[in-house]
Amino acid sequence: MKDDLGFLNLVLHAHLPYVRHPEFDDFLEEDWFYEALWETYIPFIDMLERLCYEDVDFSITLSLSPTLCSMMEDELLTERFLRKMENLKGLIFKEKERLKNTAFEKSVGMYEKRMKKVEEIISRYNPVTKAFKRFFEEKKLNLITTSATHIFMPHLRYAGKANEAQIKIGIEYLKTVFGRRPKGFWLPECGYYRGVEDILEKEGVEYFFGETHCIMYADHYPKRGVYAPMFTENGVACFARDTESSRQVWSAREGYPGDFDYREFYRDVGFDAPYDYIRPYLHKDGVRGNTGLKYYRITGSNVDLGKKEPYDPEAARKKTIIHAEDFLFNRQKQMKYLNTIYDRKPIINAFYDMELFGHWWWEGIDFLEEVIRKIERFNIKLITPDEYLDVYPENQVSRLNESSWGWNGYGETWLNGTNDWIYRHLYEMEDRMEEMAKKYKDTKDKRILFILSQMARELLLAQSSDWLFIMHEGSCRQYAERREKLHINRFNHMYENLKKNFIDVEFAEESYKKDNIFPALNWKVYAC
Amino acid sequence: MEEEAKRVKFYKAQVWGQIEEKSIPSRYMKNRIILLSVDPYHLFTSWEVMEKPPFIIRVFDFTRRFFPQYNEVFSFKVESDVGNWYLNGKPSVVYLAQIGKVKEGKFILIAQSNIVQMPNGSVSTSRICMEMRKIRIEEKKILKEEKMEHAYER
Repeated sequence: MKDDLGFLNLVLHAHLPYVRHPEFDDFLEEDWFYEALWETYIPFIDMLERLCYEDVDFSITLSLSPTLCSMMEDELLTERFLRKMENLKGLIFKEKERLKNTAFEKSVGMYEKRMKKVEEIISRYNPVTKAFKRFFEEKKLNLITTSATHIFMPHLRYAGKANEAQIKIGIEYLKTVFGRRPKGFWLPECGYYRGVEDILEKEGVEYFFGETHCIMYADHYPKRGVYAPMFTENGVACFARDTESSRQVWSAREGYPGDFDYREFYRDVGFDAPYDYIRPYLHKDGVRGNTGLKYYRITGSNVDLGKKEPYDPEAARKKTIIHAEDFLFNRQKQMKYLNTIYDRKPIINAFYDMELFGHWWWEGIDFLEEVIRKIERFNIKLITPDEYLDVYPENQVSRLNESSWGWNGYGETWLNGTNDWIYRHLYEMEDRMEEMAKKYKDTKDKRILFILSQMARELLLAQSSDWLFIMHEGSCRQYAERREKLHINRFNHMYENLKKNFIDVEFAEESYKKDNIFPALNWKVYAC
Repeated sequence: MEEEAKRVKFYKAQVWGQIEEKSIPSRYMKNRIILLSVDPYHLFTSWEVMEKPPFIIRVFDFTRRFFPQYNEVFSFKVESDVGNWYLNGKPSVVYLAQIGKVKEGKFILIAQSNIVQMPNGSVSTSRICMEMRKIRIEEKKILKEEKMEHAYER
């Protein structure tokens, strides 16, 4: 500790919107979750197990969103994931034969190994949240969470108790799964606005994470830049993102993930193999799509998908070592410099979407592992925000700047011509929820209690920032719009019936069958 | 009997499906105006009014909070009872919007928005630095426990 140059605060944010469709046997958008398990979470758990087994000293922060956590806990989705894996296993088996003695043989071997890992890990941790619980208890993972359904808080701050309910329900849910309240909080999309700290403080949160200019553009000049946290006026600490370390990893162009030896994301055997051969492994509608097996490397910048060269797992693995060392070398240089200008050891806050590792960047988890293993050699210490605040309990205070890590650094992604029509409905729904919650605050009628809790579920799901984001991005837009409309309609239907004193519990039950998130949801937060 | 139940259930499922797919409300029958900050230079406003257009939307600089002697920054006419619009703003300024009608040269207020403080959008020129020490809850707790143990030993 004495010789350390500084600290690296590694924060991984794990989130997916709640997509679960029991009404269909095979649903395309559910694949987001299955792909995430296969590509990111299972190898991540595998990495944590290995590091723990070898007694490597580390602690990193994982923000697990309540929606993703709910999906991991869900029996139906787990069952469907296993069914998917069973199918993929069949394909790998066939591919082994088909691609024997070709340049793709090694890649097939890699997928075969991954499949074994999936089986092993699921047999040990089912549901997979059990794994996170274990590493949380062993203090290797500093497990925190975010708002219930990943609401973009700055834009709904004037909607009554919307943000308060989101924060409370999110934290409460994490506590029921992992047995402890988290000390930290991930603001969805790093969306900070003045006043959110008051809600966080009430919930016992000690720190949160912000974008660089959350601190840099605070009302007072930040004495130590983003290399120390800043307190809000009520003493909740904000750790802000370091731009250098994020660009190196995030950027597909300048960053590591774009290296020519790494696996190409867009070329999948689902598009390449003969149709009749691959048909049983595609979705029921028979449209060609991703299967998860990809055999090509990026090869070069602007290389046509058809001209990509075969992927070599060993060469890619070697690159992750080089990149991890480069990453650490650069942090070391950065820290050496920061030590000359600041009065204390710097903390570099590196935040990433968990799915960057594994899903978008196949070799990303190997890179992470190398960073964790080698960091000591570079005289840098991995630290969690709690530990940092123990070392340096004194920090500068200011009023922070509203910001997000989205496009242009503010709220534009979630409020523009593609998605702004949603806000008046969200504001109105919040009013309606609070109206009914207050009206039936003391009711003992179980049917009404059930309807109100389902109304709260629909409201929360409509508030997800994901739908707004997808509408902005363009792909899968129809699905996002349909989801918004569906939740708004279900909610309003229940509201209007309740207003007419017509107790239609069946409709609420039917909705619950489809969207059963937060079974123990406490809607009374809307009543106080 | 069982068949009847099945039939009812099927019918209901169909109706439920229709509810989910129908178009969302176009009006909520209330007067309301919302004001949001998009970034340090842009605002967004969304309104619904239960009267016939046209209306006037007035935007005020509320930074100094001398209510009601606030400064009107600009105003504009809108021709629809439900709508939204993007406006220009300035960093760190506090805004407030009102929607109403002009009758006989007088502005008649229909609804007033929330107040919005725009993001700063640049590094502060203030060099005042306040530091704070955070006394953490567990720290206090642990100290207390140690004392008690000590007392017990004595």
